Amino acid sequence: MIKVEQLSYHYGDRSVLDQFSYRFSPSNFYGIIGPNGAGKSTLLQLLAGVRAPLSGNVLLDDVPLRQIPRKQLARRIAVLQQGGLPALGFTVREVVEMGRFPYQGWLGGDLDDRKGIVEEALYLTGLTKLTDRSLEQLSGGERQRVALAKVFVQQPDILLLDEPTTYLDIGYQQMIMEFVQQWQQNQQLLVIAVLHDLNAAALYCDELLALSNGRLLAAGSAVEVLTSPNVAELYDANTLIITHPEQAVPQLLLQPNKDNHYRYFAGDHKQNT
Amino acid sequence: MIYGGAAMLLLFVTIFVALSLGSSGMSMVDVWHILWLSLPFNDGASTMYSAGEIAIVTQIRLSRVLLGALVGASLALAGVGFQGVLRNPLADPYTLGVASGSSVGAAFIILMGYQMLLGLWTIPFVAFVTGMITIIGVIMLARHKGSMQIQTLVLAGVIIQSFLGSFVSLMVSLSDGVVNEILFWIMGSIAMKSWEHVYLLIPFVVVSLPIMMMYSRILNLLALGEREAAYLGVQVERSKFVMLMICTLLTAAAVSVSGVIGFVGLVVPHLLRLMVGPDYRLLVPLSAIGGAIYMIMADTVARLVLSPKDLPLGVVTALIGAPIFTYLLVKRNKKEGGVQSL
Repeated sequence: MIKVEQLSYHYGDRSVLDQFSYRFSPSNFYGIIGPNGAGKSTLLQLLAGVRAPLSGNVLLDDVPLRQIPRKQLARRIAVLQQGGLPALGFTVREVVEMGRFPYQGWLGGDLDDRKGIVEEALYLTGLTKLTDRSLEQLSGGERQRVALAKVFVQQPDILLLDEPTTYLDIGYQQMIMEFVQQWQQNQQLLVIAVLHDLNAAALYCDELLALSNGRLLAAGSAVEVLTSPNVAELYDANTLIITHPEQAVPQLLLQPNKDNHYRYFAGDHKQNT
Repeated sequence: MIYGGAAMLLLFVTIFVALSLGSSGMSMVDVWHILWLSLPFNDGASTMYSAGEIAIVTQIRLSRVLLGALVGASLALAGVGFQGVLRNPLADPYTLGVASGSSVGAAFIILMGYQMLLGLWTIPFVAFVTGMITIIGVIMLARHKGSMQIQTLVLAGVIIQSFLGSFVSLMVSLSDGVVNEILFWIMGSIAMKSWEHVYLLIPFVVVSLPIMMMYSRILNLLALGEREAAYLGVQVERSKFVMLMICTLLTAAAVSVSGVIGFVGLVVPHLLRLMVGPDYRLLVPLSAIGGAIYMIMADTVARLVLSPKDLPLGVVTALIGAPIFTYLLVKRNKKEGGVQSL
């Protein structure tokens, strides 16, 4: 569905993606993991078409993204960003309705008239009672639910998530991940999520891609990717990997270092970026 | 709809009052009788009123009120557009340096005594051209690899503005004899204008308003952030460019006929935000109407308070506007206990 060919990107002389190629197939939940600066967010922006590749190509059903009009693209691909929406004076309903923009004509009429979709999204995200509140009156978690409802009414068949649960408490983290999982399974979406939370990645994703220095270090199921050597290579972190007692997927525990806690700052620390 | 109706009603009341009041000593009945008789299907007012009285009403007062409406509408539209695109509550029609560019052109013409080179239109023409050149310079400064960073744009505008402002000050200081003329032009006025000025502004407002209304949903999406808007299908760079050009044209046109009238473009959109909320689908048309109302009111005060002498219009717009704005802000903060946001 989305094919990435020989994708490279750099900021100044710092390379963040180096000849990256991959084929994302439909109705799959992919997780992209890797340390800060590994090129995950850049990759997501390239996949969303808001950033142009410096070399290589991103193909959606074999058509380069650049050749697809922005509005048409927004009917296929939706993006849920980290940190949610800014605190604005717009009401919850107004913001969720903005998700219909790709389907609206110049005068604002919905071309693909699905009035029910906004109500459905508000209901499914539990925002029905908050519809007339303005965003500035909501908490960060509630605002992220509004953002989720907004991408839902966009009715994409590809959903990109950029660390969607950052800054949220575990209740909201679980709610967001399970909402996306349910939606993915019901509508056979292709979901590509950049995740920092490796445990969540192991629980919810079908397939993980580990990025390091703009290259693919490992790809496959959580069991294949989340191994001690890989995690050490990616993050230079000391971890203990156990198996989730009920879900049979790997889960990480931090393993405190016994001595020399200053090693991180003393130059002894392996460079990740 | 209800807001639109109320605003139109208020506009008509304002025009009615502004036309009725004046320093000539004519009664309200006389004024409206002259206007009635001057309509095309009547015989004209010359049998009942003197030529002077007719000229005051139809040539001076009516054109002045309509010019005020158009200048106010242009500046408020440009203000709401700039605030939307730049996502900066302090943005106004002059933020990107249009007015400074126009002022340099106008001040130069006045200083050199070239006012009549192209007849009546010398100063407006030069002011318009120098204003447009300035904004193009600012946009080129802020462009980088085909995209405009908002912060860079505002910074470039502010820098160009103060750079050109110092030229204006220099020219003011060089021209002992004509100091007042330059300063008065800069302070802004819609006195001593003619129907030609009204005709000049009409196409700018008539073309810009519907385009801006079509872009109002895009301005709403831009409020979520440029990247978020792009994810929702907005062609961000193109939309920003179109809006900036339209707002600049409106500003340059208004400034070229009336000088630099401050505060209207800044405060009218904010007053409306406090009343109707952040939705640009309402703010754009209401700004046009609100700017017109505000400018007519300010100009009526400007010509009546010390009549027959005119106060500088820019002074009045701020003197009336600041207290109203403060009142609404305090009232809103008391009600919601929240912070004002764009």
